[in-house]
Formats: sequence, C-alpha cells, structure tokens
Amino acid sequence: MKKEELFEAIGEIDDKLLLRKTSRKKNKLKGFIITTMAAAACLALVVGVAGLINKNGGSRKVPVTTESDSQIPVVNEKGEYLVPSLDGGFGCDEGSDIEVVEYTDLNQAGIAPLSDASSDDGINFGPLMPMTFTEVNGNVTADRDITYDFTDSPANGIATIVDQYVLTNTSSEAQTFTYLYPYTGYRYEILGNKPVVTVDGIEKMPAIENGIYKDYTAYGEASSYLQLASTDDYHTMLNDDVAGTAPKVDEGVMNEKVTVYEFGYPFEEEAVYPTKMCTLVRVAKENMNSVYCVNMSLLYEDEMYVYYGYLYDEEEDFKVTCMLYHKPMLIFMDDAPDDITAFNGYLNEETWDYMPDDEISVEVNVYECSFSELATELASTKLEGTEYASDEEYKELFIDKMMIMISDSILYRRCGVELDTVYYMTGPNCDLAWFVDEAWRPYGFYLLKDTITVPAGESITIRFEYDRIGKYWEEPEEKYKGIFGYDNTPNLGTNITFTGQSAAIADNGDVEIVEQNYGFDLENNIREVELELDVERYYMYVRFID
Amino acid sequence: MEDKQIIQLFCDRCEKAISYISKKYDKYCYSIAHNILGNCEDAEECVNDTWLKVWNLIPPTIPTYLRVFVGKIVRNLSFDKYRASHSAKRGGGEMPMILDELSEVIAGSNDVETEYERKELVATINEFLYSVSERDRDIFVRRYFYVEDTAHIAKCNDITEKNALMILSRVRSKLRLYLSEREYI
Repeated sequence: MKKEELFEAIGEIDDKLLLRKTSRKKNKLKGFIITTMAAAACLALVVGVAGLINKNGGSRKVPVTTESDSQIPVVNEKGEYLVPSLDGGFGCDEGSDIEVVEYTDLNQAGIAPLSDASSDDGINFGPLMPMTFTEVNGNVTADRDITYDFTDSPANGIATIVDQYVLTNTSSEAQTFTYLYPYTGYRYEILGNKPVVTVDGIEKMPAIENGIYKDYTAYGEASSYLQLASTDDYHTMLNDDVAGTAPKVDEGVMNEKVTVYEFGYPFEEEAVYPTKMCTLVRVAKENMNSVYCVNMSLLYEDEMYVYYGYLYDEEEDFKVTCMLYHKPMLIFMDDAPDDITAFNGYLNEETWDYMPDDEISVEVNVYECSFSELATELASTKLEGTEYASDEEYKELFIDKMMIMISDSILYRRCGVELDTVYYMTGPNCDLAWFVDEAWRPYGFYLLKDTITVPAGESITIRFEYDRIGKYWEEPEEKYKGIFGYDNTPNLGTNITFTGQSAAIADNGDVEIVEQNYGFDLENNIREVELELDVERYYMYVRFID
Repeated sequence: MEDKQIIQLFCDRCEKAISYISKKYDKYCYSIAHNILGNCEDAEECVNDTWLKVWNLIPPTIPTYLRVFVGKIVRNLSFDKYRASHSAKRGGGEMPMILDELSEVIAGSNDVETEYERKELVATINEFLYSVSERDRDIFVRRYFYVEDTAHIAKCNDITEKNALMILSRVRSKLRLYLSEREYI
C-alpha cells in the first residue's frame, strides 16, 4: 500500500465520521469574565483563519457572511463575549453552538493557556524538578533553596537557576549514595552548556545519562519520544519516581552475536526491469520475531514465508539512503537460513507476483557482530557529516539511547518481557533505521549523576547552577506577549526526605510578576518564601519591564 | 437554503442549483482544496470542477449529507490535481507532511489494492475510527481528511499544538497496529 492510497482510502470513510463538530471549549472553570479585550483576541483568531486560507499569499477574498456564516465575535449586553466556532474544515459555512465560558485565572484560561505554554519549537522543558537518590536513604535529609536569578535582565526569559541542597547525614555512619538530577532539554544544550555542579564549593563533573525516553500521555499510553506539553504530563510520565524510570541496557542481550546480511544495489545499470522492486530474502514465518532489518521492508508473503526486500527507483536514491541510514541489512538473532540467497528475483509491480530471476545478482556481505557493535555502526553512519561527528560526548549519549531502545525491543520481542506494546516495534518489519531516527531526536529527559559521601552526623552542600528559559506562548494574544512562566514541582519524582524548601528571586527591579502562587511581593521586597512540600506545583508568570 | 432543496434543484436539472450550492459551500470546499494544493489558483479551479461534478452526479446519486458529499468530491479532485502537477515540488500546502505522516502508518506494507481490497481497507479504517475516542477521531479526520494544519486543529480543540501533534502520532501508531493485526501491513 502506498501512502497516497491510504490518503485516498481516508477520503472514502463513512459520512457520519465527517459530520460537523463544534469547537471544544473548556467548561470546568468559573469566575473570570472575558471582556472586549478577549473579543479583540477572537477577531485575531478570525483573521488567523482567513490568513490560513490565504497563507501562500493568494489574493482570494474570503467570502463575507452568508446566511449560514457566523465568524464575527459577539459581545452581549453583559459585556461577556461569546465564542463562535471558527472551524475552517468541519463547518466553516455554518454557525456553531455558542457557549459562554468563564475562567478563574490566567493559568487556566482557555484563551491564554500559560500553564501549557511551550518554548522554542513547541517543546515544554518542564518544571524545575528536585534531585533524587538512586536508592532510598532514610539517613540523609535535605534542605533546599532555589533562586531564580533575573539580574541579567533577560527579556528573552532565560533565568539563571541556582538549586542548592544541604544534605545532612543523621546517622552515626558515613553515607555514600548516588544522586540523580533531572534536566529536560536538548542533547547539544546539556553538553554544550552544562550545569555547574559544586559540592561544598568544589566543582564536580557528574555523568550525564539518558533518562526515560518514552512518555505517557494522559491516556496512559507510551509513545516513542517525549512530547510533554504541560507540567501535568511530567507528573504522568514520572509517576512520582525519577529513579525508577531511569532506563537500563541489558548487556547480555546487546552482546549476543547476530548474523548480518548486508546488501548492495541490485540492478545493473543497463538492465530494464518491469518493476522497481528488487531482491527478496525469504524468512520462515516462525522466525520473524528474531529478525531485524535496516532499510528493508516486508514486501511479500506466502503461506510459510515472508520476503524482505528493498525498493529504489534509481541508484542515486539508493546511495543517498545508504548514506543516511546504512546499506540494507537483515539481522538474524538466531541461525540465519541456509538458502538466503536462493531467492533473488523481483516483484512484478502490476501483478505483485514474485518473479525469480537468476540474472539478478546482488553483492552480499555476511558477517557476525553483536547488537552493540551494530548499533555503534548505525550511529556512526548517522553522525557522519554532521557537526557532532567528532563530539565524543554527543556520540556516547546518542549511541547509549539507541542501545537502550534496541535492548528494550529485543527483550520485548524475544523474551516476552511485558513492556508497552504500542511503543515497541511489533510485527515483522522491525527496522533499526527507525531506532536511529528516534534516538537522534535531541530533545530528551537527562539525568546528572554522581556519587557522594556525607560523613556521619555532618552536612554537605551540593549546588546546581544553569540557565533555563521560561515557558512562553509562541503566538500570544497581545495581552500575554512577553510573559514567561516558571513551574516548580517540589516533590515530583524524588525519594529524598526534605526538611524544608525555599524559593527566592534576584532581580534588578525590572521584573513584574503577573501571576503566581509562591507568595513573592516584589513591591514590598518580599523576595524569599518558604515552600509547602505538599503543594504539587508552584508557578510564576513574569514580565520583564523594559 | 436547505440541503434537500438544493438537491431537489439538481434533480430538476435547474441550473440555479449550482449557484445555491456554491454560495453555501464555496468557502468550505475552497479551504479543503487550498489545504491540499497550497495555492489559490489551483484551489479555485478544483472548486469550480466540483460543482460540475456534482451536477453530473446528482441524480442519480442522492447524497444523505450534502456537505460531506461535496467535501469528498473536492478532496478527490484536489488530490488528483496535486499528484498530476507534483505540487509538492513547488512547496504547496500541507500535503507533503500529510503524506509523510501517513507513510509511517503503512511502512512495510505489502498489499496492492484491487477495488475489493480498497473497499475492505476503507471499511477497516471506518471501524478503527469508530473505535477511538471522539476527540482523537475528530483530530485525525481534520488532519487526514480535511488536511488542516495542526495549529488550527489545536485551536478548534482547545489544546496546544504540541498536544495535537502528540494525539496524531498516537492515533497513527494505533492505526498502524490495527492495520497490521488485520494483515494490511
């Protein structure tokens, strides 16, 4: 099936599935009446829809109201604005049910969802999360002080975060433990602009490791990469245990030997074939769960066998794909078939019949290696030509992520380990090129990791200092432009016993707090507050005064 | 004018039918065509062709839902035009991304579609869409039938664009699994 065929098939779905729906509005909130300012925002949305239709610069005029159009926002006699449907697809020609909504605060307002604001290209870097230990240690308590330092007047929303812990050993023996400090961001960022970590004033170099790489939506399903859009998503993902979510590579599985068949371009330059399909490799169906591939697809099957192959119109396309992902490969975790090269042929594109053809010869390179070596080779192919090709730290993190994903996949497919079925590449076509792509995504959840010792009855101070951009709304209504949000979840994912936490703001008098639940009062110089440990989330929305 | 009145005009072969249907559904059809083709000229041409096609189809076809009927016609015409003119190479609209996203669903597929298999596939997709939540279905249909961009879909559903992208990714994965279990891929 081609993607165009799927697109066409979707075009024939049941009519009832295409019937008009009204826009969804949040209905849980109360108390905040949207005034004409928001009505102006609604007009902006109307303009936005017109802009959508004409987004490529066309001069087509959007028709003004017909008897069935209702695109203009309305303010009633009480000054409440009524939200019309602005559907561009489902029902743009007819007015929808109009619903009056009220909001308690900016944080929850459907029009300005600052709580869901994202940074950069839509990534939500998440709340400030506390340090945790790899194992529970009831002999060590912590007192935490957080400072949001805005003294560099960061109109771009970047604050310097100082997250400091005084760890006290309450026992009569020295305590040695490993900490994990969560950090969400881009791989190149965490490596290029590492947090400065000191212990009692002495700089340390903690390891940087991959944290959890799959996330859970509010629906409880895993997806293959982090797409966390709100602090609530972080709560769902971490499930109150950062240490427990740290992924592990099964060394035994990754060091197992596999047999690799690596293929070249199948067709002679002058050859003319009735199809663009190429050599097929036969695998018995009962062996499918022990087969991986790279740049190959399951093209054909009969009663007993499946046939892997790869498809290219031109040698040039083949070469480009090989450069990006590696030559086509079949990888056998168990014994490879004896007659793997006996089925050279092609698929007739019209009849989809398999046509054996001994005239087709393909260069085949067969060798043994481990999954670890294979992952390293695929990663090197990917890195070649990129700016990270000689960045050993970057390579290590990238390869480690691939190893984690492959290890999890093998355990699931072969050993029946219960893992999230939606995420792992189920089915016969387990293409490692997919893992390369997934691991390549730089945005991730990382963990700073180090081991420290606190003498009996004493305390040490560990401090993390780094820059962090606040959340911001990418295309905000005028009222919310220039506002940045900083979330803090004092207890999320930690197993440390805190004796107290506090937060402070340092600024040059050019910060205005638009909304918060910390208790700061900059006008009256209250710049430091104690945090209540049972509060799930602290938030602060800040505007920088020019 | 009510849909059934417009349909009656078509059945009576009254040329005013085209005027009424275009007045009612012009913007709707145009937005679908423009989403697919990415340029105004081609979109207008497809919309005009849609009215001619409707004229030729009604009767004997009597659509139950006229809006959906014209929507499907303009979608098909627009996609045919997209493929014929390789609009993707001119960077038009959402289609290149849409097709890339759909290719995730069918990666590794080994089926060629006869007419019978195509109808079976459509029936399977229907089953699948009825099995997912209303919101997920709504978002999927907006993206892959109406070819709406994700920012607009997010606004219509009162969610962030990131949430919309996440939901689409999840539904695509589910569809892939659904099709795989039924041996389409």
